[in-house]
Amino acid sequence: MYRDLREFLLILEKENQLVRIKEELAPEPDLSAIGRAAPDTEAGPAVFVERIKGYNNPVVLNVHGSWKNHALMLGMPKNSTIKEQFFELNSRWDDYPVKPVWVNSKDAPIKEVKITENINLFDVLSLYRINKFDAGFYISKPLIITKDPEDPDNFDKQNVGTYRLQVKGKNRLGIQAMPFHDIGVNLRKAEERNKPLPVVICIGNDPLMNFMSGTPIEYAQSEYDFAGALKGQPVELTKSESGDLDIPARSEVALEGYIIPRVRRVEGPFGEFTGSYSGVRNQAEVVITKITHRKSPIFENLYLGIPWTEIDFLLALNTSIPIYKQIKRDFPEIQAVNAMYTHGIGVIISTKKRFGGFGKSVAMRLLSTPHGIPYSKFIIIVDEFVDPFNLPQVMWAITTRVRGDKDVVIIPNCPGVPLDPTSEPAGMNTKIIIDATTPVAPDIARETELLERPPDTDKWIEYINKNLK
Amino acid sequence: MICPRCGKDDIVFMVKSPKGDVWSAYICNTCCYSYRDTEPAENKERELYDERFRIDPDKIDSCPIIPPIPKLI
Repeated sequence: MYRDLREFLLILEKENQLVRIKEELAPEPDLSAIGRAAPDTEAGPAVFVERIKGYNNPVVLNVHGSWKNHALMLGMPKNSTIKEQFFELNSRWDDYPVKPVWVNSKDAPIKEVKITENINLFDVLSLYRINKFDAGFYISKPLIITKDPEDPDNFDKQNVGTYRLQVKGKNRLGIQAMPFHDIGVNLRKAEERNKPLPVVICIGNDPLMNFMSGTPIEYAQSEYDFAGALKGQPVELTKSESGDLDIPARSEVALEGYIIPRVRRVEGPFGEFTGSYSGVRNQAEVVITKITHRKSPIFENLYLGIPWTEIDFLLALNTSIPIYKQIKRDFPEIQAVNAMYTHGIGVIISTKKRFGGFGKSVAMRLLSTPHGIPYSKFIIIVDEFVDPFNLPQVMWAITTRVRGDKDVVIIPNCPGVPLDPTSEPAGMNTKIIIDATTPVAPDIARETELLERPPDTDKWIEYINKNLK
Repeated sequence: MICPRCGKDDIVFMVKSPKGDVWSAYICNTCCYSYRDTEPAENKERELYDERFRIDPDKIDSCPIIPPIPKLI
Protein backbone atom coordinates (compact mmCIF):
# COMPACT_ATOMS: atom_id res chain seq x y z
CA MET A 1 0.00 0.00 0.00
CA TYR A 2 1.24 3.50 -0.83
CA ARG A 3 2.20 5.72 2.14
CA ASP A 4 1.55 9.17 0.73
CA LEU A 5 0.45 11.19 -2.29
CA ARG A 6 3.78 10.75 -4.12
CA GLU A 7 3.67 6.98 -3.85
CA PHE A 8 0.02 6.97 -4.95
CA LEU A 9 0.84 9.07 -8.01
CA LEU A 10 3.43 6.43 -9.02
CA ILE A 11 0.68 3.79 -8.84
CA LEU A 12 -1.65 5.93 -10.96
CA GLU A 13 1.12 6.40 -13.53
CA LYS A 14 1.85 2.68 -13.68
CA GLU A 15 -1.86 1.96 -14.13
CA ASN A 16 -2.12 4.52 -16.93
CA GLN A 17 -4.28 6.80 -14.77
CA LEU A 18 -2.03 9.84 -14.71
CA VAL A 19 -1.21 12.37 -17.42
CA ARG A 20 1.89 14.59 -17.13
CA ILE A 21 1.98 18.03 -18.69
CA LYS A 22 5.53 19.28 -19.11
CA GLU A 23 4.91 22.54 -20.98
CA GLU A 24 4.49 25.69 -18.90
CA LEU A 25 0.83 26.61 -18.33
CA ALA A 26 -0.92 29.77 -17.16
CA PRO A 27 -2.54 29.60 -13.70
CA GLU A 28 -5.79 30.86 -15.26
CA PRO A 29 -7.66 29.51 -17.10
CA ASP A 30 -5.58 26.36 -17.71
CA LEU A 31 -5.68 24.78 -14.25
CA SER A 32 -9.40 25.32 -13.87
CA ALA A 33 -10.11 23.92 -17.35
CA ILE A 34 -7.97 20.83 -16.69
CA GLY A 35 -9.80 20.20 -13.43
CA ARG A 36 -13.10 20.29 -15.33
CA ALA A 37 -11.83 18.25 -18.28
CA ALA A 38 -10.17 15.33 -16.52
CA PRO A 39 -13.30 13.78 -14.92
CA ASP A 40 -15.19 14.32 -18.19
CA THR A 41 -12.85 11.89 -20.00
CA GLU A 42 -13.52 8.17 -20.10
CA ALA A 43 -10.49 7.21 -17.98
CA GLY A 44 -10.73 10.15 -15.56
CA PRO A 45 -6.98 10.26 -14.86
CA ALA A 46 -5.11 12.54 -12.47
CA VAL A 47 -3.25 15.36 -14.26
CA PHE A 48 0.19 16.45 -13.07
CA VAL A 49 1.17 19.92 -14.27
CA GLU A 50 4.91 20.31 -13.85
CA ARG A 51 5.35 24.02 -14.56
CA ILE A 52 3.04 26.96 -13.92
CA LYS A 53 3.93 30.45 -15.03
CA GLY A 54 5.43 32.50 -12.20
CA TYR A 55 5.34 29.68 -9.66
CA ASN A 56 7.96 27.41 -8.13
CA ASN A 57 6.02 24.20 -7.68
CA PRO A 58 3.81 21.72 -9.59
CA VAL A 59 0.07 21.12 -9.30
CA VAL A 60 -1.83 17.85 -9.39
CA LEU A 61 -5.55 17.69 -10.14
CA ASN A 62 -8.27 15.04 -10.25
CA VAL A 63 -6.44 12.52 -8.04
CA HIS A 64 -9.82 11.11 -6.88
CA GLY A 65 -11.72 11.93 -10.06
CA SER A 66 -12.81 8.56 -11.46
CA TRP A 67 -13.98 5.18 -10.19
CA LYS A 68 -10.69 3.75 -11.48
CA ASN A 69 -8.64 6.14 -9.33
CA HIS A 70 -11.02 5.50 -6.44
CA ALA A 71 -10.50 1.73 -6.72
CA LEU A 72 -6.72 2.19 -6.86
CA MET A 73 -6.95 4.39 -3.76
CA LEU A 74 -8.47 1.36 -2.02
CA GLY A 75 -5.76 -0.92 -3.41
CA MET A 76 -8.35 -2.71 -5.59
CA PRO A 77 -8.15 -3.55 -9.32
CA LYS A 78 -8.94 -0.38 -11.25
CA ASN A 79 -12.01 -1.80 -12.95
CA SER A 80 -13.75 -2.77 -9.69
CA THR A 81 -17.45 -1.84 -9.81
CA ILE A 82 -18.91 0.80 -7.52
CA LYS A 83 -20.83 -1.88 -5.66
CA GLU A 84 -17.65 -3.92 -5.12
CA GLN A 85 -15.90 -0.82 -3.78
CA PHE A 86 -18.88 -0.11 -1.50
CA PHE A 87 -18.79 -3.57 0.09
CA GLU A 88 -15.00 -3.60 0.37
CA LEU A 89 -15.13 -0.29 2.23
CA ASN A 90 -17.97 -1.56 4.36
CA SER A 91 -15.92 -4.54 5.43
CA ARG A 92 -12.76 -2.50 6.20
CA TRP A 93 -14.86 -0.01 8.21
CA ASP A 94 -15.19 -2.66 10.93
CA ASP A 95 -11.39 -2.72 11.42
CA TYR A 96 -11.62 0.72 13.08
CA PRO A 97 -9.60 1.76 15.01
CA VAL A 98 -6.09 1.19 13.65
CA LYS A 99 -3.97 3.54 15.72
CA PRO A 100 -1.37 5.72 13.97
CA VAL A 101 2.35 5.70 14.62
CA TRP A 102 4.30 8.86 15.44
CA VAL A 103 7.62 9.70 13.83
CA ASN A 104 10.17 12.28 14.98
CA SER A 105 10.48 15.57 13.19
CA LYS A 106 13.77 14.50 11.56
CA ASP A 107 12.07 11.43 10.02
CA ALA A 108 8.98 13.31 8.81
CA PRO A 109 9.22 14.39 5.15
CA ILE A 110 6.80 17.25 5.84
CA LYS A 111 9.51 18.87 7.97
CA GLU A 112 12.18 18.94 5.25
CA VAL A 113 11.82 22.71 4.85
CA LYS A 114 10.73 25.09 7.61
CA ILE A 115 9.65 28.68 7.08
CA THR A 116 9.11 30.83 10.16
CA GLU A 117 9.55 34.38 8.79
CA ASN A 118 8.13 36.37 5.88
CA ILE A 119 5.34 33.86 5.31
CA ASN A 120 4.17 33.87 1.70
CA LEU A 121 1.71 31.17 0.64
CA PHE A 122 2.44 31.95 -3.01
CA ASP A 123 6.09 30.92 -2.57
CA VAL A 124 5.00 27.38 -1.73
CA LEU A 125 1.58 26.84 -3.35
CA SER A 126 0.74 27.46 -7.00
CA LEU A 127 -2.57 29.19 -6.21
CA TYR A 128 -5.16 29.94 -8.90
CA ARG A 129 -8.84 30.83 -9.43
CA ILE A 130 -10.97 27.70 -9.65
CA ASN A 131 -14.20 29.15 -11.07
CA LYS A 132 -14.49 32.46 -12.88
CA PHE A 133 -16.51 34.34 -10.26
CA ASP A 134 -14.94 32.89 -7.14
CA ALA A 135 -13.96 35.76 -4.86
CA GLY A 136 -10.29 34.85 -5.25
CA PHE A 137 -7.84 31.96 -5.19
CA TYR A 138 -9.08 29.00 -3.18
CA ILE A 139 -7.53 25.97 -1.49
CA SER A 140 -10.22 23.35 -2.01
CA LYS A 141 -8.67 20.08 -0.83
CA PRO A 142 -7.01 20.73 2.54
CA LEU A 143 -6.94 18.64 5.70
CA ILE A 144 -7.63 21.04 8.53
CA ILE A 145 -6.61 19.83 11.97
CA THR A 146 -7.95 21.31 15.22
CA LYS A 147 -8.50 20.16 18.79
CA ASP A 148 -11.42 20.51 21.17
CA PRO A 149 -10.36 23.40 23.45
CA GLU A 150 -12.29 21.83 26.34
CA ASP A 151 -10.60 18.45 25.93
CA PRO A 152 -7.27 19.06 24.14
CA ASP A 153 -5.66 15.81 25.29
CA ASN A 154 -8.39 13.66 23.76
CA PHE A 155 -6.83 12.33 20.55
CA ASP A 156 -10.11 10.92 19.25
CA LYS A 157 -11.79 14.33 19.44
CA GLN A 158 -9.03 15.94 17.38
CA ASN A 159 -10.72 16.86 14.14
CA VAL A 160 -9.41 16.41 10.61
CA GLY A 161 -11.83 18.04 8.19
CA THR A 162 -11.97 19.66 4.76
CA TYR A 163 -13.33 23.21 4.66
CA ARG A 164 -12.86 25.68 1.84
CA LEU A 165 -10.16 28.34 2.23
CA GLN A 166 -10.05 31.69 0.44
CA VAL A 167 -6.60 33.24 0.09
CA LYS A 168 -6.83 36.76 1.49
CA GLY A 169 -3.16 37.69 1.68
CA LYS A 170 0.31 36.21 1.80
CA ASN A 171 -0.36 34.78 5.25
CA ARG A 172 -4.13 35.03 5.65
CA LEU A 173 -7.04 32.77 4.72
CA GLY A 174 -10.82 32.92 5.01
CA ILE A 175 -12.32 29.65 6.29
CA GLN A 176 -15.84 28.25 6.05
CA ALA A 177 -16.57 26.70 9.45
CA MET A 178 -20.30 25.89 9.58
CA PRO A 179 -21.78 25.56 13.09
CA PHE A 180 -22.74 21.91 12.39
CA HIS A 181 -19.18 21.03 11.35
CA ASP A 182 -16.80 19.66 13.99
CA ILE A 183 -14.48 22.61 13.44
CA GLY A 184 -17.46 24.87 14.13
CA VAL A 185 -17.81 23.21 17.55
CA ASN A 186 -14.09 23.70 18.28
CA LEU A 187 -14.21 27.32 17.14
CA ARG A 188 -17.26 28.07 19.29
CA LYS A 189 -15.52 26.72 22.40
CA ALA A 190 -12.39 28.80 21.65
CA GLU A 191 -14.40 31.94 20.95
CA GLU A 192 -16.44 31.58 24.14
CA ARG A 193 -13.07 31.98 25.90
CA ASN A 194 -11.82 34.64 23.45
CA LYS A 195 -8.85 32.38 22.59
CA PRO A 196 -7.25 31.78 19.18
CA LEU A 197 -7.91 28.24 17.88
CA PRO A 198 -4.62 26.60 16.78
CA VAL A 199 -4.92 25.05 13.35
CA VAL A 200 -2.74 23.15 10.87
CA ILE A 201 -3.72 22.97 7.21
CA CYS A 202 -2.16 20.05 5.34
CA ILE A 203 -2.10 19.96 1.55
CA GLY A 204 -1.04 17.15 -0.82
CA ASN A 205 -2.13 14.25 1.36
CA ASP A 206 -2.48 10.50 1.35
CA PRO A 207 -5.67 10.14 -0.75
CA LEU A 208 -7.34 8.07 1.97
CA MET A 209 -6.84 10.94 4.41
CA ASN A 210 -8.74 13.25 2.07
CA PHE A 211 -11.37 10.53 1.77
CA MET A 212 -11.74 10.37 5.57
CA SER A 213 -11.65 14.11 6.17
CA GLY A 214 -14.86 14.44 4.15
CA THR A 215 -16.57 11.52 5.88
CA PRO A 216 -19.39 12.25 8.34
CA ILE A 217 -18.12 10.19 11.29
CA GLU A 218 -18.93 10.84 14.94
CA TYR A 219 -17.41 13.78 16.81
CA ALA A 220 -15.27 11.57 19.05
CA GLN A 221 -14.08 9.22 16.29
CA SER A 222 -10.61 9.75 14.86
CA GLU A 223 -10.16 10.25 11.13
CA TYR A 224 -6.59 8.97 11.53
CA ASP A 225 -7.75 5.72 13.14
CA PHE A 226 -10.26 5.26 10.32
CA ALA A 227 -7.67 5.95 7.62
CA GLY A 228 -5.48 3.27 9.22
CA ALA A 229 -8.39 0.81 9.11
CA LEU A 230 -9.09 1.54 5.44
CA LYS A 231 -5.40 1.31 4.50
CA GLY A 232 -4.78 -1.83 6.53
CA GLN A 233 -1.72 -0.13 8.05
CA PRO A 234 -1.23 2.76 10.51
CA VAL A 235 -0.86 6.26 9.14
CA GLU A 236 2.34 8.10 10.11
CA LEU A 237 1.87 11.26 12.16
CA THR A 238 4.21 13.84 13.59
CA LYS A 239 3.77 16.80 15.92
CA SER A 240 3.13 20.29 14.58
CA GLU A 241 5.73 22.98 15.31
CA SER A 242 3.20 24.84 17.46
CA GLY A 243 -0.28 24.20 18.82
CA ASP A 244 0.41 20.56 19.83
CA LEU A 245 -1.50 19.08 16.90
CA ASP A 246 -0.94 15.70 15.25
CA ILE A 247 -0.38 16.01 11.50
CA PRO A 248 0.36 13.52 8.71
CA ALA A 249 4.14 13.14 8.53
CA ARG A 250 4.16 12.52 4.78
CA SER A 251 1.87 15.26 3.43
CA GLU A 252 3.41 17.82 1.08
CA VAL A 253 2.75 21.07 2.96
CA ALA A 254 1.64 22.12 6.46
CA LEU A 255 0.41 25.66 7.05
CA GLU A 256 0.41 26.32 10.79
CA GLY A 257 -1.45 29.15 12.48
CA TYR A 258 -4.64 30.02 14.28
CA ILE A 259 -8.22 31.17 13.73
CA ILE A 260 -8.60 34.72 15.01
CA PRO A 261 -11.23 34.68 17.77
CA ARG A 262 -14.49 36.60 17.35
CA VAL A 263 -13.62 38.11 13.95
CA ARG A 264 -15.63 37.63 10.74
CA ARG A 265 -14.84 39.11 7.34
CA VAL A 266 -16.42 38.88 3.94
CA GLU A 267 -15.84 35.56 2.12
CA GLY A 268 -17.13 34.09 -1.12
CA PRO A 269 -18.80 33.47 -3.43
CA PHE A 270 -17.21 30.15 -4.30
CA GLY A 271 -18.34 27.59 -6.90
CA GLU A 272 -19.54 24.75 -4.67
CA PHE A 273 -20.26 21.01 -4.88
CA THR A 274 -23.89 21.82 -5.71
CA GLY A 275 -22.75 23.08 -9.13
CA SER A 276 -23.71 26.65 -8.16
CA TYR A 277 -21.94 29.58 -6.56
CA SER A 278 -22.39 29.98 -2.81
CA GLY A 279 -23.49 33.28 -1.34
CA VAL A 280 -21.26 36.01 0.13
CA ARG A 281 -20.97 35.70 3.90
CA ASN A 282 -18.94 37.01 6.79
CA GLN A 283 -16.74 34.14 7.91
CA ALA A 284 -13.77 33.41 10.16
CA GLU A 285 -10.12 34.01 9.23
CA VAL A 286 -6.87 32.13 9.75
CA VAL A 287 -3.42 33.70 10.17
CA ILE A 288 -0.51 31.50 9.05
CA THR A 289 2.58 31.83 11.23
CA LYS A 290 4.75 28.92 10.02
CA ILE A 291 5.03 26.66 7.00
CA THR A 292 6.77 23.31 6.78
CA HIS A 293 6.94 21.36 3.56
CA ARG A 294 8.63 18.62 1.55
CA LYS A 295 11.19 19.66 -1.04
CA SER A 296 9.45 20.66 -4.33
CA PRO A 297 6.01 20.39 -2.72
CA ILE A 298 3.10 19.34 -4.91
CA PHE A 299 0.00 21.54 -4.67
CA GLU A 300 -2.96 19.19 -4.87
CA ASN A 301 -6.25 20.96 -5.49
CA LEU A 302 -9.74 20.07 -6.63
CA TYR A 303 -12.15 21.47 -9.22
CA LEU A 304 -15.86 21.74 -8.38
CA GLY A 305 -18.49 22.11 -11.07
CA ILE A 306 -21.81 20.77 -12.28
CA PRO A 307 -21.59 17.06 -11.34
CA TRP A 308 -19.76 14.90 -11.91
CA THR A 309 -16.43 16.43 -11.03
CA GLU A 310 -13.70 15.21 -8.71
CA ILE A 311 -15.54 16.19 -5.56
CA ASP A 312 -18.46 13.91 -6.46
CA PHE A 313 -16.11 10.90 -6.47
CA LEU A 314 -14.49 12.07 -3.26
CA LEU A 315 -17.83 12.52 -1.45
CA ALA A 316 -19.58 9.42 -2.81
CA LEU A 317 -18.94 6.22 -0.89
CA ASN A 318 -17.64 7.99 2.21
CA THR A 319 -21.09 9.54 2.51
CA SER A 320 -22.84 6.24 1.74
CA ILE A 321 -21.03 3.92 4.19
CA PRO A 322 -21.67 5.78 7.49
CA ILE A 323 -25.35 6.15 6.59
CA TYR A 324 -25.52 2.45 5.68
CA LYS A 325 -23.92 1.48 9.01
CA GLN A 326 -26.27 3.71 11.00
CA ILE A 327 -29.50 2.52 9.35
CA LYS A 328 -28.49 -1.11 9.07
CA ARG A 329 -28.00 -1.23 12.86
CA ASP A 330 -31.75 -0.65 13.33
CA PHE A 331 -33.05 -2.16 10.08
CA PRO A 332 -31.07 -5.28 9.09
CA GLU A 333 -33.25 -5.54 5.98
CA ILE A 334 -31.18 -2.77 4.33
CA GLN A 335 -29.05 -4.11 1.46
CA ALA A 336 -27.04 -1.08 0.29
CA VAL A 337 -27.08 2.73 0.39
CA ASN A 338 -26.15 4.94 -2.54
CA ALA A 339 -25.76 8.48 -1.15
CA MET A 340 -23.56 9.64 -4.02
CA TYR A 341 -25.67 12.49 -5.30
CA THR A 342 -24.46 15.93 -4.23
CA HIS A 343 -23.01 14.73 -0.93
CA GLY A 344 -26.11 12.79 0.07
CA ILE A 345 -28.77 15.34 -0.91
CA GLY A 346 -30.00 12.53 -3.15
CA VAL A 347 -30.01 9.00 -1.67
CA ILE A 348 -31.12 5.60 -2.99
CA ILE A 349 -31.57 2.72 -0.52
CA SER A 350 -32.33 -0.91 -1.36
CA THR A 351 -34.13 -2.94 1.28
CA LYS A 352 -36.19 -6.01 2.03
CA LYS A 353 -39.66 -5.26 3.40
CA ARG A 354 -40.71 -6.27 6.90
CA PHE A 355 -44.35 -5.17 6.37
CA GLY A 356 -46.39 -2.74 4.30
CA GLY A 357 -45.07 0.84 4.31
CA PHE A 358 -41.61 -0.31 5.40
CA GLY A 359 -39.89 1.63 2.62
CA LYS A 360 -41.19 4.88 4.10
CA SER A 361 -39.94 3.87 7.56
CA VAL A 362 -36.48 3.33 6.10
CA ALA A 363 -36.56 6.77 4.50
CA MET A 364 -37.61 8.38 7.76
CA ARG A 365 -34.78 6.62 9.58
CA LEU A 366 -32.38 8.12 7.03
CA LEU A 367 -33.88 11.52 7.82
CA SER A 368 -32.95 11.08 11.48
CA THR A 369 -29.25 10.28 10.89
CA PRO A 370 -26.74 13.07 11.61
CA HIS A 371 -25.94 13.53 7.92
CA GLY A 372 -29.46 12.84 6.64
CA ILE A 373 -31.05 15.49 8.87
CA PRO A 374 -29.62 18.50 7.05
CA TYR A 375 -28.45 17.00 3.74
CA SER A 376 -30.79 14.28 2.49
CA LYS A 377 -33.71 15.73 0.57
CA PHE A 378 -34.57 13.40 -2.29
CA ILE A 379 -34.87 9.79 -1.15
CA ILE A 380 -35.69 6.78 -3.29
CA ILE A 381 -36.29 3.36 -1.70
CA VAL A 382 -36.04 0.28 -3.92
CA ASP A 383 -36.46 -3.49 -3.47
CA GLU A 384 -33.62 -5.67 -2.28
CA PHE A 385 -33.06 -7.11 -5.77
CA VAL A 386 -32.54 -3.66 -7.29
CA ASP A 387 -28.94 -2.44 -7.34
CA PRO A 388 -29.08 1.15 -6.00
CA PHE A 389 -25.85 1.97 -7.87
CA ASN A 390 -27.46 0.97 -11.18
CA LEU A 391 -29.56 3.96 -12.23
CA PRO A 392 -31.39 2.22 -15.11
CA GLN A 393 -32.55 -0.39 -12.58
CA VAL A 394 -33.61 2.35 -10.17
CA MET A 395 -35.58 4.06 -12.96
CA TRP A 396 -37.23 0.71 -13.73
CA ALA A 397 -38.32 0.48 -10.09
CA ILE A 398 -39.72 4.01 -10.14
CA THR A 399 -41.60 3.47 -13.41
CA THR A 400 -43.12 0.11 -12.48
CA ARG A 401 -43.51 0.28 -8.69
CA VAL A 402 -44.52 3.81 -7.70
CA ARG A 403 -48.20 4.67 -7.19
CA GLY A 404 -48.24 8.45 -7.23
CA ASP A 405 -51.07 8.75 -4.70
CA LYS A 406 -49.55 6.37 -2.11
CA ASP A 407 -45.82 6.19 -2.58
CA VAL A 408 -44.69 9.80 -2.91
CA VAL A 409 -44.44 11.75 0.32
CA ILE A 410 -43.57 15.41 0.76
CA ILE A 411 -42.54 16.75 4.17
CA PRO A 412 -42.28 20.54 4.16
CA ASN A 413 -40.17 22.86 6.33
CA CYS A 414 -37.51 20.40 7.49
CA PRO A 415 -33.83 21.05 8.17
CA GLY A 416 -31.81 21.64 5.00
CA VAL A 417 -28.24 22.36 3.98
CA PRO A 418 -27.74 26.07 3.22
CA LEU A 419 -25.49 25.40 0.19
CA ASP A 420 -28.40 23.62 -1.57
CA PRO A 421 -29.79 26.32 -3.90
CA THR A 422 -33.36 25.15 -3.12
CA SER A 423 -32.90 25.68 0.62
CA GLU A 424 -35.24 28.58 1.38
CA PRO A 425 -34.74 30.15 3.82
CA ALA A 426 -31.12 28.92 3.88
CA GLY A 427 -31.03 26.01 6.31
CA MET A 428 -34.62 24.81 5.65
CA ASN A 429 -35.91 22.43 3.00
CA THR A 430 -38.69 20.09 1.93
CA LYS A 431 -38.01 16.35 2.00
CA ILE A 432 -39.28 14.10 -0.80
CA ILE A 433 -39.63 10.35 -0.33
CA ILE A 434 -40.32 8.03 -3.26
CA ASP A 435 -41.09 4.50 -2.11
CA ALA A 436 -40.37 2.37 -5.18
CA THR A 437 -40.54 -0.98 -3.37
CA THR A 438 -43.07 -3.67 -4.20
CA PRO A 439 -46.00 -3.44 -1.75
CA VAL A 440 -46.27 -6.22 0.84
CA ALA A 441 -49.09 -7.07 3.31
CA PRO A 442 -50.98 -5.42 4.81
CA ASP A 443 -50.48 -3.00 1.90
CA ILE A 444 -52.13 -4.27 -1.26
CA ALA A 445 -51.14 -4.04 -4.91
CA ARG A 446 -52.10 -5.68 -8.19
CA GLU A 447 -50.66 -9.12 -8.53
CA THR A 448 -47.58 -9.12 -10.68
CA GLU A 449 -44.94 -11.71 -11.39
CA LEU A 450 -41.37 -10.72 -12.18
CA LEU A 451 -39.49 -12.09 -15.15
CA GLU A 452 -36.63 -14.41 -14.26
CA ARG A 453 -33.19 -14.60 -15.81
CA PRO A 454 -32.92 -17.59 -18.15
CA PRO A 455 -30.62 -20.36 -16.91
CA ASP A 456 -26.92 -20.02 -17.82
CA THR A 457 -27.19 -16.27 -18.44
CA ASP A 458 -23.94 -15.67 -16.53
CA LYS A 459 -22.17 -18.33 -18.58
CA TRP A 460 -23.26 -16.60 -21.78
CA ILE A 461 -22.15 -13.17 -20.49
CA GLU A 462 -18.71 -14.65 -19.98
CA TYR A 463 -18.78 -16.21 -23.44
CA ILE A 464 -19.82 -12.98 -25.15
CA ASN A 465 -17.21 -10.90 -23.29
CA LYS A 466 -14.49 -13.39 -24.14
CA ASN A 467 -15.37 -13.43 -27.83
CA LEU A 468 -15.55 -9.69 -28.29
CA LYS A 469 -12.93 -8.57 -30.79
CA MET B 1 -7.29 51.44 -7.66
CA ILE B 2 -10.98 50.64 -8.07
CA CYS B 3 -12.23 47.20 -7.05
CA PRO B 4 -13.87 45.41 -10.02
CA ARG B 5 -16.40 43.83 -7.70
CA CYS B 6 -17.45 46.41 -5.08
CA GLY B 7 -16.35 49.62 -6.81
CA LYS B 8 -14.42 50.97 -3.80
CA ASP B 9 -11.09 52.68 -4.35
CA ASP B 10 -9.47 50.15 -2.06
CA ILE B 11 -7.44 47.70 -4.17
CA VAL B 12 -3.94 47.07 -2.83
CA PHE B 13 -0.97 45.10 -4.10
CA MET B 14 -0.89 41.58 -2.58
CA VAL B 15 2.03 39.67 -4.10
CA LYS B 16 4.21 39.35 -7.16
CA SER B 17 5.00 36.06 -8.84
CA PRO B 18 7.59 34.16 -6.82
CA LYS B 19 9.46 33.14 -9.99
CA GLY B 20 10.32 35.83 -12.51
CA ASP B 21 8.40 39.07 -12.58
CA VAL B 22 5.55 37.74 -14.71
CA TRP B 23 2.42 38.66 -12.77
CA SER B 24 1.16 40.47 -9.70
CA ALA B 25 -1.95 39.79 -7.62
CA TYR B 26 -4.14 42.44 -5.98
CA ILE B 27 -6.80 42.39 -3.28
CA CYS B 28 -9.61 44.70 -2.18
CA ASN B 29 -9.39 45.71 1.47
CA THR B 30 -13.14 46.31 1.55
CA CYS B 31 -14.64 43.17 -0.05
CA CYS B 32 -11.59 40.81 -0.10
CA TYR B 33 -11.92 40.22 -3.86
CA SER B 34 -8.58 39.32 -5.42
CA TYR B 35 -7.26 38.85 -8.94
CA ARG B 36 -4.08 38.38 -10.93
CA ASP B 37 -3.13 40.93 -13.58
CA THR B 38 -2.82 38.17 -16.20
CA GLU B 39 -6.53 37.23 -15.85
CA PRO B 40 -9.17 38.26 -18.41
CA ALA B 41 -10.43 41.84 -18.30
CA GLU B 42 -13.82 40.69 -16.90
CA ASN B 43 -12.02 39.69 -13.72
CA LYS B 44 -10.09 42.90 -13.20
CA GLU B 45 -11.96 45.85 -14.69
CA ARG B 46 -14.94 47.43 -12.97
CA GLU B 47 -16.86 48.20 -16.18
CA LEU B 48 -16.59 44.61 -17.39
CA TYR B 49 -17.21 42.83 -14.08
CA ASP B 50 -20.43 40.80 -14.33
CA GLU B 51 -23.38 42.61 -12.71
CA ARG B 52 -24.60 39.40 -11.10
CA PHE B 53 -21.47 39.12 -8.99
CA ARG B 54 -20.96 42.75 -8.00
CA ILE B 55 -21.50 43.57 -4.35
CA ASP B 56 -22.54 46.75 -2.58
CA PRO B 57 -19.81 47.63 -0.05
CA ASP B 58 -22.41 49.16 2.25
CA LYS B 59 -24.25 45.83 2.50
CA ILE B 60 -21.28 43.65 3.47
CA ASP B 61 -21.92 44.03 7.19
CA SER B 62 -25.46 42.74 6.76
CA CYS B 63 -24.33 39.50 5.04
CA PRO B 64 -24.94 36.40 7.20
CA ILE B 65 -22.31 35.69 9.86
CA ILE B 66 -21.03 32.09 9.77
CA PRO B 67 -20.63 30.68 12.31
CA PRO B 68 -22.39 33.02 14.77
CA ILE B 69 -20.06 34.63 17.34
CA PRO B 70 -20.95 33.06 20.71
CA LYS B 71 -21.33 34.85 24.01
CA LEU B 72 -18.21 35.00 26.19
CA ILE B 73 -18.21 32.65 29.19
